[in-house]
Order: sequence, then C-alpha cells, then structure tokens
Amino acid sequence: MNYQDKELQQRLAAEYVLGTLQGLARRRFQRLLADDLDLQQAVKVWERRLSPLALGLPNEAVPEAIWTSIRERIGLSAQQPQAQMMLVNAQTLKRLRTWRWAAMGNAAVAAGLVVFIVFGALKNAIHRQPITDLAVLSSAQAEPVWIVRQRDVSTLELSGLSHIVVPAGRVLELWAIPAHGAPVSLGLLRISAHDQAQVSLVTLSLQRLKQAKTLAISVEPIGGSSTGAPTGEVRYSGKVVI
Amino acid sequence: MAIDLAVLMSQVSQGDQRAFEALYRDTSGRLYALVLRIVRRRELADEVLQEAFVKVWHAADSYQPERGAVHHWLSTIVRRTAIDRLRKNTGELVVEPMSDWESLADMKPGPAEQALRDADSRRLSRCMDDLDEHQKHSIALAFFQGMTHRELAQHLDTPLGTVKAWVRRGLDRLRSCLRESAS
Repeated sequence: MNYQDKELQQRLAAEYVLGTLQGLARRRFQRLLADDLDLQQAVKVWERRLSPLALGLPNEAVPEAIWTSIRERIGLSAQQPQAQMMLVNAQTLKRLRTWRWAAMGNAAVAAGLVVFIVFGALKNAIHRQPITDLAVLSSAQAEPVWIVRQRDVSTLELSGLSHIVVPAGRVLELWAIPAHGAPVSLGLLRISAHDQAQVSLVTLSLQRLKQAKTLAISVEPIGGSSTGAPTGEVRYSGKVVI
Repeated sequence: MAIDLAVLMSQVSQGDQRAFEALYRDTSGRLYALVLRIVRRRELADEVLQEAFVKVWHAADSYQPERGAVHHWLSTIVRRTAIDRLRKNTGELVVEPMSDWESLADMKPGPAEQALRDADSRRLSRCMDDLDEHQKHSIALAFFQGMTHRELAQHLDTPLGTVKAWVRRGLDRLRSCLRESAS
C-alpha cells in the first residue's frame, strides 16, 4: 500500500477516527501516525469533523468512584492547600473597596474577576436531594470558592471548596444584586465545621433572591452591615445561574 | 448554562486542580454517555472515562482554542480512548440490546441546543442528511456503537464488502460536503 497517496491517507485517517480501521491495519496506521505529520493533520481534521456528533447525547449519571480514581491516579489532594486562597494582594483589595456596587456587572469584569458558573455541576455528585444550584462564587483570583444552593424556601446552603478563614471579630454577609439596582442583604453566613455555611431566608430575602442576577459575599462587623449596604471588602462573587 | 470551558481549560493547563474538577463535573455526564454507547459495558466504560480524564489532565496544555471548542477536544480524547480500548480486546463483541439503538443510528448532531448553535455541528448535520440511508446508518453505528466493519455486516445482515463500501463512500461524501460548505 502506498501511504503517500493523499486519497488513501484521507480514507485511512477517516476510518481510523471512525474506528472501523482495525486489527493489523490499525496498528500499522498508528505506527505511521507517530512520525507522519501529514497523517496527523488528516486525523485531526477528521476528529474535528466528526466530533460534533457526540454533542447531542444526553447526560448520563457518572458513578462518583470514577472521580475518586482519577484524583488518585493523578495525585490530586482531596483538599486544596489552605494558604493559597486568602492571599488577596493589596492592589486587588483597594480596587474591591472602591467597587461601585450599582455597576457591579461591569465592575466585576473590570476588576478582573472571572466568574465561574458551574451549571448543575455538582448537583448529581454531591447531593441527591432535590436542591437547586444557584451560583458559584469566586474569589478575586477567580478561584471558585463557594457553591451556593437552595435547600428549601427558607435555607441557602453554601459549600466551601477550600478552607474558609474569617477574620476575628468579623462575619460574612451574603448579598443579592439585581440587574439594575443596589445590593440587598440576604443574611449572614452561619459557618459550621468543614467549611459549610447556611443562610436562613426570610420572606423578604426570598423575593430579593428571585430578582438577583449576582450574589456576593462581603466581610462585615459582627451583626452584619448596619447601613443596609456592604461596608467591608467583597471577597467573593458570582452570577446566578437560574 | 454558561460555564466558560475555555477559561477552565486554560486554568487546568496551569495545574489548577479545582478548575479540573469543575471541568470534570460539567462535562463527564455527556462524555460518559458517549463511552457507554461505544464500549457497552459499565466496568469498561468506567475505566475508559477514568483513563481519558487522566489524559486530559496531562495533555491540557496541548489544547488549542483555535482547533475548536473544548467539548470537541474532550469528546475526541474520550472517543479515541474508547475505540483504542475496544480494538485492543480483539474479536470479542458483546452486543447488548439497546432500546435506543435505532434512534441513535438515525441521530443527527444535537438535540442539544448548544450543538445547534455550533457552526461545525450544523454543517455536519446538513452533510449527514446528504448521505443515503445505508451510509448514514453505518457511519452512525460505527461512531456511537464503536462497531467494526464485521460487526456492522453482522448487525445489518449485509455482506462485508457492501458494508465497507457504505462506510467508505459515506465518509468520502461527508468529506467533500464538509469541504464545500466550509469554503
């Protein structure tokens, strides 16, 4: 077989990608592929051509054990190093303090905050209860730190993805920010062990939550902000996904 | 649903473990569905998904945004791993009845909205429609079920040579159609 023949190369690459090239022919092709740039290119093009087919499949529930094995195989720690998260540099803090709340959507981008929205990402994996994922809040370094879920009409649950350190004599307050308008408080975080937290919702907060486009957490004095608006630094923020 | 996979990928390539987990959580369901259809056995599917994501972690820095969306890149790695795995265990074919077997074979890219928005998907969909039924059917079975020529022949109850020709002509036609629509 003349592997320099362009047409043949195309056909072999196509059947290799599709998977119908098999046995000896497949092994021979793989050997050639290792050094042949033209063949590699042909394979890439075919992969690109056919891969959209895979996009239409519905999600399948993935056993959690698979993730555990992946993590073990590549040597990921179960917990992130703790120090990393709180290293907010002075520059960023300054910018955050001068953050104009009303224009938060744009300000978030301007301040270099990359907002992560993990749609239903952890829904299947962690909880089986019918609870709703609301948002993933990220730090100023764009690291996802909190997953916010609504457990029921009166409780929000926040799961810390890393170790949360609250300065002594301070509390964390959760804010809802509508598309147009100032942030309104949803309540204070009651942080328990293992970096879990809850916020109890009153009727007023529920309405505020429904209109929220963005959620954010600020550091406030004990008892929460006394002005009705955030007074301390904004540590985390993220868009509401539903 | 607006997770920015490209941003996640760039963080994964810098060794960001949390970004990797977020990527896994967001994409593994659909990729697992793909693997299950190809290898048709759960324990094998589990191994393939695992192996593929280990590759993703190590090869993240070779992802090039201009080569296409993250989903494409991931599904390519996953599919390649699945097919390689299947072809290694030569000869043994476990055909388990699948209720959606026929509908899968008829499948065009993407009931998923996202797929429809995607230009590559739309082009592929149009070109798949251009193929005759036999060609379309055999290509879809090979893609989604990981079938070899022989398995296709058996499944479609058609001589091997005929099935090979369907696949080859189908792919040829797909290629010229995709080329035309790209230019």
